[in-house]
Amino acid sequence: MKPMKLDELYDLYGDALYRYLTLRLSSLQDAEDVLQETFVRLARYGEDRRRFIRDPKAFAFRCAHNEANRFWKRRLRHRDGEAAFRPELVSRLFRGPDETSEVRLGAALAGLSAEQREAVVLKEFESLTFRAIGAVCRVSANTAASRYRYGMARLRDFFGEPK
Amino acid sequence: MNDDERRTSDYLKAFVPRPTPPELRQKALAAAQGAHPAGRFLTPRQWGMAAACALLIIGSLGVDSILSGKQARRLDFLLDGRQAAALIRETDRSSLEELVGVQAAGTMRFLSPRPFPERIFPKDGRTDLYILMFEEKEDADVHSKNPR
Repeated sequence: MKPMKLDELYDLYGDALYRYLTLRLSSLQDAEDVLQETFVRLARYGEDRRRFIRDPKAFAFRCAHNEANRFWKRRLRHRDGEAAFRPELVSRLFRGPDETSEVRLGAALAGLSAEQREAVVLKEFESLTFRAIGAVCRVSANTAASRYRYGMARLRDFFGEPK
Repeated sequence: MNDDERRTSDYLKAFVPRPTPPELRQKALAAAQGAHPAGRFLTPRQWGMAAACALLIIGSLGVDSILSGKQARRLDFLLDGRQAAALIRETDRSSLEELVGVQAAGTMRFLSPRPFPERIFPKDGRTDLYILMFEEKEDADVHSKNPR
């Protein structure tokens, strides 16, 4: 497999990682910082080792997931705690049919648990497979699928019958 | 995926990502380039583990060489002909003296000289009778230099 350069990785997955980190950390600034740390982490592996990565997309999301966890650990050490999900960030990241639907999507995602929201976002907006989602979240593919289905059921309840 | 999930999924597909801040790419890549370890094969954590393993190997080799050196000295001492013979002679002599005592050792010294035939003329007139007599000598070396 051809070794992937960092700029190629960013062009392929940088925006998706930024959206994922923003929804996970509930902060645009924190997402920027953690995205930089993610690419620092990817750079440490070097091109020679990155060529052995079978699924670069899942690997990049896994690195982002780990860096977000490290960020939260640092925050908890300083007693800042985890930030609650901010629904208004959804409209900063996604453009819907209208402004109302963007607000509703934010409210619907806020009604999910963090694990369900992560599974739904990775599956629906970033098009990861269940196996890749399991690799990112360190759970089995079945667990990832279960989280996704519970999350989708709650979204369906929230939206009612989508038109 | 059932129909409800598919409908909800189709509804979510109506949302498209907005473009991210353009300066973010430069920031992320600049940070990554600054931290890029050129030609580095192992991560810092792996380097630490490798160093710990190397220290363990060197330490075990050192201890092994010390122990095997002692063992080798013992073996050399035992396998060396002169030293081993002296050791065995000393051991046998001391153990023999312990076993049979000093008197028995003197008896053995009495028996050790070689016998010589001496013709004795018995009273009954038989002249072909030889009796083995043992000459008592204090020093076996003197005896060996002046055989009869």
